[in-house]
Amino acid sequence: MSKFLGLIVVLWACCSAAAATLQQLSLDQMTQSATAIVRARVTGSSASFTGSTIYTHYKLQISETWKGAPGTEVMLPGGVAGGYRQAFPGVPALQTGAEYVLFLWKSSTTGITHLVGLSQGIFNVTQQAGGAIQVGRPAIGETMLDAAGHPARDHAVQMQLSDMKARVSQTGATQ
Amino acid sequence: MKGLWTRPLACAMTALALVAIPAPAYYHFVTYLNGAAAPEKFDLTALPNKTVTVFVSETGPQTYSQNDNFNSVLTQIRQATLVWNGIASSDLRIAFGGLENGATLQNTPGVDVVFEDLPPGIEGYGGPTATINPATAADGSTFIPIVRSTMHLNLNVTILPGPSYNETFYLTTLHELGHALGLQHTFTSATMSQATTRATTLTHPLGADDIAGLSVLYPNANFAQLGSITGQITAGGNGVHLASVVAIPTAGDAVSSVTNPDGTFRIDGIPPGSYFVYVHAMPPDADIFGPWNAAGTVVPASGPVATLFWSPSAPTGTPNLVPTAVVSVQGGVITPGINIATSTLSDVPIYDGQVYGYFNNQTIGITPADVNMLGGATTVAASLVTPATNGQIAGLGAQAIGASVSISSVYPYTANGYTYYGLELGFGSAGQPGSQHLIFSSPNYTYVLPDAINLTQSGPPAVTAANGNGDGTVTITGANWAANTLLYFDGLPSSIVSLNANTGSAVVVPPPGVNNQQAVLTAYNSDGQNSQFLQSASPVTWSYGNSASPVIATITPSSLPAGAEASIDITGSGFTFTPGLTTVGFGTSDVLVQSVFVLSPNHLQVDVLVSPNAALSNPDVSVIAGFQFATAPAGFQITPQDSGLPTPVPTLTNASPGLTGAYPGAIVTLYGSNLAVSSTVLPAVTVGGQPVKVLYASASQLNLQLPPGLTPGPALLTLNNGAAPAFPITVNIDTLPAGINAVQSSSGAYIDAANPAQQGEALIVTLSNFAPPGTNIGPGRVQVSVGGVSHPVTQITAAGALYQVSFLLNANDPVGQSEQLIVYLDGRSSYPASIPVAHPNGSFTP
Repeated sequence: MSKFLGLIVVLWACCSAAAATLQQLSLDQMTQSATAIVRARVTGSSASFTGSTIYTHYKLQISETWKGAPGTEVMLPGGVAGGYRQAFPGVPALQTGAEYVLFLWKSSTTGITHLVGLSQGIFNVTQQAGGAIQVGRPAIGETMLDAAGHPARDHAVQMQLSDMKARVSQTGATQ
Repeated sequence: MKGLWTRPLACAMTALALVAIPAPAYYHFVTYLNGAAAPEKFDLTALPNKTVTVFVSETGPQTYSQNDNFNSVLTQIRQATLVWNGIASSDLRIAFGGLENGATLQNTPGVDVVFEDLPPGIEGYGGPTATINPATAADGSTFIPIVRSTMHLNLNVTILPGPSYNETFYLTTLHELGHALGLQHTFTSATMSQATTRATTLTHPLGADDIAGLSVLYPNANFAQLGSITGQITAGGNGVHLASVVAIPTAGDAVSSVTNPDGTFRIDGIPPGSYFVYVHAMPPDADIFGPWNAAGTVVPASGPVATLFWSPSAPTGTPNLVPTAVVSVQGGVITPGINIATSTLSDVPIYDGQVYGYFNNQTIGITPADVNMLGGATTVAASLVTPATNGQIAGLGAQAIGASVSISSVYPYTANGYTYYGLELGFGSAGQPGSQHLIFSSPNYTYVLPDAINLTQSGPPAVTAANGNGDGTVTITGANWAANTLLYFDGLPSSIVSLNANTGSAVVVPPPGVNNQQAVLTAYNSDGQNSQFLQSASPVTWSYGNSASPVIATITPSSLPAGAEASIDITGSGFTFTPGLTTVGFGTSDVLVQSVFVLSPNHLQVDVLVSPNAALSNPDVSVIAGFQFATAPAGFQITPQDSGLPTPVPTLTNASPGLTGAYPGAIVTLYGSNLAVSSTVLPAVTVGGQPVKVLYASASQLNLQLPPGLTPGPALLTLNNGAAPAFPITVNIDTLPAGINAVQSSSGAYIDAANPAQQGEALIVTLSNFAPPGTNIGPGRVQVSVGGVSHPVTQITAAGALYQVSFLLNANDPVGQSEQLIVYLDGRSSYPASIPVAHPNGSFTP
């Protein structure tokens, strides 16, 4: 059989890059670093300049708050405003009408509410045929670095909403 | 490989236009307008000298890793701009502008690198800011002008893709700059590919796909030397929108494009050669923005399709899961009709592949896998993403394109909860080093990973020690070096005085450093491996010791009007100004630095162009020499335009046909505006303090005879058009050209009126002052022009201080009693000579 059985996979890539560069965060790390975690539906969006950056403001209809005291919107860089368009590959877009679990981070210096880790902080909420509610996100192709600064492989995440909520609650309780 | 087909070309080619129109739906930021694709790109007419300048916010990061600093960050960004600037088939030039103050008003498009307090988990992102209103280019094509581009990086660079001296930081900067210039992601393992599949290195920083991507946006005449492929991708008879179509050679870089809404595609910028062509679906995480329609709404992709290779034997849809048919690509030619009929899928079964090679008893993994083919059969590990719920791909097989690698076994295994696939590799006796492309196949899907494996012929290089020699040089020792190994101090290359690859020893001059800088030393081999593969945990460092902090002392003049061309004299202290490693920035994209002349370690002259529509401002001035930098806050001022100001462009062009170089005694042309007030009043011109004879004068052009006594090197040029003086500019005076001493036939007979050269004859030209004695000159650097026809050379031999260049006259070369003969070395011409060229029968008449 394989000589790779028992192999310690220390995946350090010599080179990697993408439009957005992300630090790989575990669910626990995202929970700890988020200022708010919500289950919410996007009800609309608009874009405007903040300084020289266009942000798209997504309005949130929050159904559950798992952590913190969230506002009613999250801002993602990029969009169309004032006759200009900014596009930042790697920055995700939220769909109006879709439901998500969002890990939010409010900057104490700018007051802007961002996503934790861009695409890492977005989980689609879907209802399974049997009625169970699942949350998940696909693997991310952007440059992702582990805690040591080494490029890391991302993997898709799929779990039951109830499991994620319990995990967040448990992590939050240990802070 | 069996069943190879070569597409007949005789009736299938059409000539490319000299400069290609940007291809539709390339992997740019595209809007579909009136049936055509309008890409976002910089408006070259809005850029001085077609140059976009990259600036770094002077606030810089706040937190660094050990041995890392802002100086190192700056050098890496500078190095990245040099790479994009080096694309010969692109008209866009990219300059590094040093530091900028975010409050400075600027009217000219540019690129900004800013550092921000980003949310957790985000280290940086970047992209262009474009107007939503289209513009029309000179060739009639429509585009969306980029007005500014920005790279947002984290204030904390301890875990940015760095530290900054690492190759990863450099390559990330390179990738982000690509976005800033108008490129999106591609799927050929090039620099613009996403992190998971990217395979470029410091020694091979751009793939052919990157070069094509930028050149399609900003093509120049050189682009016509590359070839194109066109065709259509269909599924169920319908055109497939936003599929990726890739032309891939057996060995070398792939080039790609994406399909239009009707499934048609055009891949431009393909180096001549033989290619397989395949279509594949973009991965779900492709992060492609747009394309948009005129209303700004995204035009959706058709959805996933099966990966298929093109084959003329199966034009109606027989699946070709492996490459069988070759498309021959010729420079300046479009090869049409490469149509592939594929099928739709519900999802993409395999994507984002990575192949890891291992070092140090399998404790260090590198992707793409660097495999020493001289070490015998080996095993690498592949990681593939699949939507399958168990994360496994049943029945996975793999094969390489080409014969350099054979894969005898593919087997899954689990590590850290994820599925990997071991690939048992073998190497044929005819195997060649370099990147190898792999094809992964499941029973119902094919996935192609370009540059999956890099075959080498040694292990990674190492650096073992560095010792100063007391004369400013450093002796570095190491292992696994090659003759062309590069030795870097942090992010900058050293100047190699001598290098012995066999003993692993080199004497180098380090790039200028700063007080107590601890520079990490890295050896880079041209095979893509570097010493950080195995030494990142404890790299060898070099301490620069104590030195004074660099300071800018004077800037003269410190003020210029909008529209001015001028030389600015800069002095400082604590610097080690070095040619090629010195940058001057004026903190605004409204001022373009055209040339930097190093006069001494603390004295510079720079030629600048202030945009006519420049914003009136007081920008900061920054000077960077190696790792040394200093800033003069508000050190420069832009004043209102003076419409009558003479503005000579600081370049002297040889005015004699066929000759190059502005050397003492040469007749040269100086271009500009307001150079003369009338044809009867000649302007007064001096160069290097010596009066210059003006042979011709108009408002936009002067022809000058340079004084024969000029000293080669930078020289100030002054001009007064009779009504007003220009600001002095610095021009470069070249050394005297090589002289042609003799022309002989291969038998040794001298060519003269009594013994004319004959068409098709081999000739030997003897030159003096051609190159320093002992210089090794490759034939590719030399051309011989006879009667205006360029000839490659067959041999170059040194004979003491003289050189002999051998070449073959063409059978149809011009015939005449006096044909001009010029020899070029790296484009620089010799003095001309005249030789008689006769028909093979010795006559000058047909």
